[in-house]
Amino acid sequence: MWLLNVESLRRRGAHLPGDVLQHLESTTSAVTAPVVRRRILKGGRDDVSNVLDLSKVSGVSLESICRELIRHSQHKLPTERQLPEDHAILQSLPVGLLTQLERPVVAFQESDIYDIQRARCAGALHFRNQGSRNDWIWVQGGSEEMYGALRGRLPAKLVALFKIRDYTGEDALRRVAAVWILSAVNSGFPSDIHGLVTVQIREDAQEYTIVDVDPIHGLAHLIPEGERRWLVNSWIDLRMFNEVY
Amino acid sequence: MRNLERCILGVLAVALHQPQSSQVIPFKHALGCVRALVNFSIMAQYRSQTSDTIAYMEHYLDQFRRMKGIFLEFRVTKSTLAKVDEQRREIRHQRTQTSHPEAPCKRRRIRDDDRKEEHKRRMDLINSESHFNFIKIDLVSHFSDHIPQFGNIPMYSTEFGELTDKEQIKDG
Repeated sequence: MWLLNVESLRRRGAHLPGDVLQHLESTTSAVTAPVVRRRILKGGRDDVSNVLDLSKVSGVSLESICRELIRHSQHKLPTERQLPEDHAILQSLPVGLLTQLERPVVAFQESDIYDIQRARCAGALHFRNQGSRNDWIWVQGGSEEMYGALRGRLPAKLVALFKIRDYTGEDALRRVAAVWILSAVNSGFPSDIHGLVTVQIREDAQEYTIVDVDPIHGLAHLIPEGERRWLVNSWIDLRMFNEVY
Repeated sequence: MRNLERCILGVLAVALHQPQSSQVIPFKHALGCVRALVNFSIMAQYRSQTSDTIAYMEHYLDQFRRMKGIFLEFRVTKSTLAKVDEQRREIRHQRTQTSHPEAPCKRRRIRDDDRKEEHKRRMDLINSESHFNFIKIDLVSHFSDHIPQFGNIPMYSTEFGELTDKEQIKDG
């Protein structure tokens, strides 16, 4: 707002004092390197130290966690960095369970101002003495041409956020999320009547999928339409209004 | 208001998602009207506007104007209500003057027809008497002229000043 006013004064030929102009030149000409913003996992829990504990705490079967971890590792990681496929070794890998993912999102019509979106995943625990909270998030599900107005993204519910350390290979730390991905109805095109995209649980949907934390785009807002269907609220903020239409 | 506009369309879409055959068109108009108004309101919050975005705003406002009639019955004033009551009394008085047939099925049919006609005349009267001529509705029609002349709308928002006032009052 302030910059706009000064610019408009300049256009109108107002006589700005010399020191003001000098200050403006020095501040506007300096090009600062863009700050790299990362997704941050927070809120570590002490009761989980390996995959076995994770399965007990999140209420998901150990078999399916191992299967999904191996599938994720095979599809997303290069061969030399893949997780061990032996279930016994996999179960013993150190795991840290977390409850919050901070995701910086560039503010609408801004280039250097970020809004921090906090996705919570309390699992079965209560959140602030109320029911459990597992937020809806956006996950990149394909290229931008897919899923119509959703532009390659799909809404998903957080099941667990965790870090897993693979000491058997390069001693690398993987930051992953177990999510429950929905599918788009009508190829992701909005309804003619209300303009909202409908998503639903597929009949053949898996219980959950493991994804990297990086393709998580931020928080989604869904409004339940029935037991297995939701409406994607694209009016929740200016950015979403401009991206989903 | 800003928080309401974020979710009202979704909530309304869910509430009106299974209309009966007679409700399809009114529900469609109601959703279209709310959608146009929310679209307009969101676009008015942009910090920078182009001729395209202003054209979109005008388009949404046109849509809202075309469909707002669906909400006219909720803009009834006390004087209109009095007229509606008077009209109803008049109709009932006229009915008492006319003789009714003896057969119960015929009587029932006549009663249904009377009720439909009464409802129609009531809605006609409400639609002719109610209006949206108040300042806040007129104000939005000037946004598209205001923006090229003075800049974006949020720049003139009073909420920043109001927030500062609150903080200053707390600080004493």
